[in-house]
Amino acid sequence: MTDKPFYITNVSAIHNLKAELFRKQEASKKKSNAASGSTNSISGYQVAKNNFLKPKPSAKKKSSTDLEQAEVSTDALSEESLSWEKAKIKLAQKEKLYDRLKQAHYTPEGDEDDQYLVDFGRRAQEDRNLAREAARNLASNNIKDEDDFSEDESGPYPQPSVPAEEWVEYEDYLGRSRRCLRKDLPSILEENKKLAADMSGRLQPEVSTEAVPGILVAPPATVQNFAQPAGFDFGQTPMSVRTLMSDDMRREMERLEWEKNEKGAEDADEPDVLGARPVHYQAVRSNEVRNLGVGYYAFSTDEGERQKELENLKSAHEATIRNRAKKDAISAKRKAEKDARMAKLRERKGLPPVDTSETSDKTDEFDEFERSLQSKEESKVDEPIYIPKPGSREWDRGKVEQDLQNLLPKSKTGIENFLEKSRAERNPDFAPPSAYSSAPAFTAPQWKRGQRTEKPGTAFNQMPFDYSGERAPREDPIPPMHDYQPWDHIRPWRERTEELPDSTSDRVADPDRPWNNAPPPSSYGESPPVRMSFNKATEEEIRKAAWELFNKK
Amino acid sequence: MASTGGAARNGDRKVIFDSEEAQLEFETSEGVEVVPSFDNMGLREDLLRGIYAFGFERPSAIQQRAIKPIVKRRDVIAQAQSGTGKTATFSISILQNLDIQNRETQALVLSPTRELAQQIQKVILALGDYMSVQCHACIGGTNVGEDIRKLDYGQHVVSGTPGRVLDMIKRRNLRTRNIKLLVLDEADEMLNRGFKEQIYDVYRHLPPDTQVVLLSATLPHEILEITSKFMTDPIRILVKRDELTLEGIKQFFVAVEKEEWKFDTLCDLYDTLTITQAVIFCNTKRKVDWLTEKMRQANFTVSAMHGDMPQKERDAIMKEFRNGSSRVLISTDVWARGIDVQQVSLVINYDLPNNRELYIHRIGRSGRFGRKGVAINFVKNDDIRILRDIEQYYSTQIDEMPMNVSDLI
Repeated sequence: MTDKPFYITNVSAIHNLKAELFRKQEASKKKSNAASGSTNSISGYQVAKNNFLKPKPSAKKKSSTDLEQAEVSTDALSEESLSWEKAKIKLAQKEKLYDRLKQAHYTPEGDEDDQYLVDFGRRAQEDRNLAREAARNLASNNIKDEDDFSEDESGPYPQPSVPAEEWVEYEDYLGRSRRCLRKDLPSILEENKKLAADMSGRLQPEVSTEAVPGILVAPPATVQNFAQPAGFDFGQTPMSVRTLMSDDMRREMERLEWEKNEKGAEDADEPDVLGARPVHYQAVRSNEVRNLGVGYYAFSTDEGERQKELENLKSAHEATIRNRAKKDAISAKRKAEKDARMAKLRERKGLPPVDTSETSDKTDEFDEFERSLQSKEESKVDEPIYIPKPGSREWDRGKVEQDLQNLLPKSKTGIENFLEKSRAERNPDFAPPSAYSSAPAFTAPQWKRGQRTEKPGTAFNQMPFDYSGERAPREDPIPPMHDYQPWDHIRPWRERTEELPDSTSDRVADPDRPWNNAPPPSSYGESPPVRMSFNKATEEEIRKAAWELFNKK
Repeated sequence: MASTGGAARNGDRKVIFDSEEAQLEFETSEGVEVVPSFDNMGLREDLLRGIYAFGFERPSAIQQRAIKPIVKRRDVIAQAQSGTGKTATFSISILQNLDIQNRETQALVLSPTRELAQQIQKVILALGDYMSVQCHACIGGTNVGEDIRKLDYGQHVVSGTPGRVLDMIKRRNLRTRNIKLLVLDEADEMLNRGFKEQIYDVYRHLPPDTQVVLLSATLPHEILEITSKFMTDPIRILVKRDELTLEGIKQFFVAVEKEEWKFDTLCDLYDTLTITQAVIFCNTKRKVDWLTEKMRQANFTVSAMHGDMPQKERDAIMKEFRNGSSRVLISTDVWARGIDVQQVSLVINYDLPNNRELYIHRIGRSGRFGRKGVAINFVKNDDIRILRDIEQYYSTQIDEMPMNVSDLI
């Protein structure tokens, strides 16, 4: 400043300068007033943060533009900066403390009550709500427009020159509100999503503390940030990684895992085919310590996934075979070309041709893999399957005959036992007509998950005996239960009347029914009893015939 | 893989000493083909992939010999040292002969304990992972309704214990018409007094002349004698009893004067037990409970398992032990046969077993598939005699426990 003297050439210039100085002074005064006015609306904490965060540019700007400032003596400047540094450190410490208190949902207890005038728990909650709103806006691609920033603009934030340099607020994965440059926003949001997924995976077995406001619980991330000494673990590491765990804890974890699996299995079940899902090694392995081969592929426990993985493996295998064949073909072709060239060369030089078969044998020897494949092919062509001569074993003796004599009686289910017992107890007069039991086509419907015997039983509700011990699956779709009614198998009365035997001949002596053989009442007269013929008669005709018969008397 | 099975050597010796050993009744059958690699067995592609994925690279001695005859539907009696891959042998053979499209039960595997049946199910599912095989563990102590649902859904293979399997056959939920193969794992136990009746009943429900495969590390003479009743011209792959103990399993004893001293010895050994995983055998369920209680009182972490526990609890304890979250297991002979936990490297016989066969099975819980193992026997003065008998019977060596026993694990 001193080495370049300042020459004043005319009076107007001095006036101009003075006016300029005044203008600047006024502007700076206004600026500082505006700043303090705006901070009044925000909390003291916020001011501290803002002042701390962004004081430098404005100060620099002042010192560079303001001539008055430029002439300030160096020691005054250093004094000011020193106090500024001090304040800065203080403020930084305060900010850190407040931040912690806020994140820990600090609520004063008893005598501590007057220490802080701020309810940090409430504040944190409020902040979170605010940030959530902001995030919601962001999520709908509605990044805050200029109006939301008006208050910040008047503050110590620098005017954004490019839209990408704007400061925007967002909510991070722990629900804290953060600021970043707009251009960084997408990458940060992405990062947060990842962290959130990670976090939720870690915290799964624990009860979410988020949902309980007002309770003095430190959120997990806060713990991780500062309260947790290095090397200690308060529940953030995944269960599989933890080493220091009590037996009970571990057992409980295993139980939870098991429960989860079981639940998943139950959900996967169809209501009618419970337990009917394929079980594979991955499902029964359950963390066993075992050295498996390098080629072991842990298939997914989900059946659909598993099938996909199997498909992929198969296609990869086929691709390998194809490529190998292609490579072999190419190398064979090259070799043939080389041999041809060699032969030509030898011919030109007048040498005898080389025996190629020898060399080819030699190369085969090298390829052990090919050889093993060949021998595999060979071994497949083998002796026929051994069939023992039948009937030579002592334990087989009498097996077939025994089988025929119901070696495998179907053990009765509860309902069958019940039916049998109640039938035995039943008064025979209340039994269904014997026609039911002699109906040939009827068998009791069996409820055996989609399988039903085709062979009809010989008697009512009797299980047909199947030697093989196997219920053959039915080809045709099974009619629903209500289609089968006992009376379905009694033929319509019209058909039965056709084969009605002679009325006299079927009057057998039945001790229970003596009236069967009693002679017809005398009122019937001499004429033999008229036999009604209902052969293919309509109901009307029958009624008519009956009426005639009645009138005859 | 390190264990060159005795079956291999046995096959070779057969040629040399044929005339000498002609008087013995049961011999390894002649002309048993040895297939040195899985690739050469003519197995299906998806099964081969499952075999390699499970961690097998080369077939063990028994696998080299027995898979092919079983696949060819011959009746087979296969003996091999503990932990040399018998389960995989029949599992591979079963899977090779399955018709996957037909979801009827085509093979039935019976084993003496529920845990073993579940383990076999696991192995079959693992080896047949790429075939999408369905295998059900049909065992007691579980929900019958669940069993019925699973069986009605259709299972290619059923691995179970005789009681529940017989129940399911009688209920006709396990349909036997398509069963082509019956496997009796731990055959000597299955054909022993307790199980023989049930095995007979199951067998009577199978189609005549069903293929039968017997496997065990120990096949006493009297068991081999009765095999003719339900097997036709079986192929025998046997191991001489002096080759039955694995060289990988070092055997020691600790002499104690009184029964009470065993407990102190065990406590002294606890640090050694937890190097990897260990199994402690007692002869009775009550003693298992007692020892567990006492160990826990002395602030040692142990888990215990025996046949009187509810199946749910047994399953949980097995799972913990397989996960490696429990390291010391106190058990009865329910754990003696067939159970395969790779990490077990130490077996302690708190009580000496009641017969010679059980000794082989118990110490065989360690040293699985060529790994190293250590067996320690606690012997009272009068027990030494029994131990010497075992030593002599199997032509093996049981030394006094050295100080550096933990170096051997």
